[in-house]
Amino acid sequence: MSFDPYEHIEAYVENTLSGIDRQRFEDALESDPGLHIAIENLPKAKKLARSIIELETRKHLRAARPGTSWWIWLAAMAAMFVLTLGYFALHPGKAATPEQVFAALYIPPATVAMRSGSEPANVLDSAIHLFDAGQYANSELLVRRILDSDPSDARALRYLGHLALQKKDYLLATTAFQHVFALHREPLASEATYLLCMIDIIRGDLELARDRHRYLVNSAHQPGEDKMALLANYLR
Amino acid sequence: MSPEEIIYGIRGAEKERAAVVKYLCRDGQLWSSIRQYVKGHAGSEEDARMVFDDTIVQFIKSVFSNPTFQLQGPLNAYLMGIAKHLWYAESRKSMQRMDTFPLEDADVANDDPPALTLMWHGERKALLLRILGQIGRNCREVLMYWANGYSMEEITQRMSYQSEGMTRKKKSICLKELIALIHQNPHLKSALE
Repeated sequence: MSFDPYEHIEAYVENTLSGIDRQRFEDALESDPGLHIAIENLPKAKKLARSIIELETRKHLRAARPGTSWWIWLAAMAAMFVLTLGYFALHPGKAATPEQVFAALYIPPATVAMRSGSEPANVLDSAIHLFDAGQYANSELLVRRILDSDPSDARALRYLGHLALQKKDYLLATTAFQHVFALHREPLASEATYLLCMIDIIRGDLELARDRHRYLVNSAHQPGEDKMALLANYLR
Repeated sequence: MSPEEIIYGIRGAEKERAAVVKYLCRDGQLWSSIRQYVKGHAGSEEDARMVFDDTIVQFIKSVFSNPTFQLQGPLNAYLMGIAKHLWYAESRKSMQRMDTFPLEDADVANDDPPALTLMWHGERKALLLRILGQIGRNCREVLMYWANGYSMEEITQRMSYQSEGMTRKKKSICLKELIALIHQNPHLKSALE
């Protein structure tokens, strides 16, 4: 039977692997660089796997909730329909389209002033300068060049998110801002959360938007009070 | 459902856990106690719903990962304890609510803090969902049992696999897959720190 080192990785890390299996594992370690990566990432994988029960339970909670008698749901839906009709009859044109949400909530990065005649100091400065000048395609080329050499450059990721928003590519913007958030660098992480919240509202995922909003409420780097009030309004 | 059935169900297969969640979710008495408590401590209806859900999740998580878990008193009292801890922890994040906590409540919350280890909130939720969505459902389940300390024999039973060897092989393939995903997503590493 062939020896699969991945079956024994935990025992090796816990130092409970002995005899021939230990020898085989160490031989595999010499020839398989992926095994080193696996050892390094094992605690994180275990932590993530341990939390899957939480994901499963939340799924069960969602499934259990609409279990109220079907006629209550039907009545609720009918009432909601009538109320919605009434609301739009009384407030024509008040339904928020994605464009309106974007126009109301989007905060572009502050323009970076440069002295006339001065040259941008580095690639990112050039990208920002192009962004500020509205030359988004050229700016994105530079931002991507930075990210090719350092995928964790928080400022480049931030601008990639803003560039994606300019062309309404919400998927790319979400990915970029999620990366920014994951780097935990304030105030960029809070800004990313705010913009992700806006994207969730545009996409109609209010549950996720509320989760992000909760984070934002506790952040020391909130956008202005007016924007927070608007955000809360959309989440109501 | 008796407390013993609940504990047994949580440590069983997914279908049994779903039944437990459904049972707890429809416990009107538990919901009104948590709602009253949260609203009495400066929370909103939405906060109460969040604490209610998180209480059930935390309870399931605690029982699932602890094979020797035993309930010392009534189930609802235990669940209320979790709810109070959760709301106290949430309120500590927004300091403005702190003055609404009477001293004795804060003391209760500090006496016996359970390990509040909920991960699936906010940004991290979206990130983890994206990653875990990339591995199969069976893989997720096998890894979930493995990471929470279940033996190969127990996993084999719950997953209805033919042999422990098959379970071991499956776990090994799934773990390799998960590790590769973590390695390919450097931003995930920091979220898991």
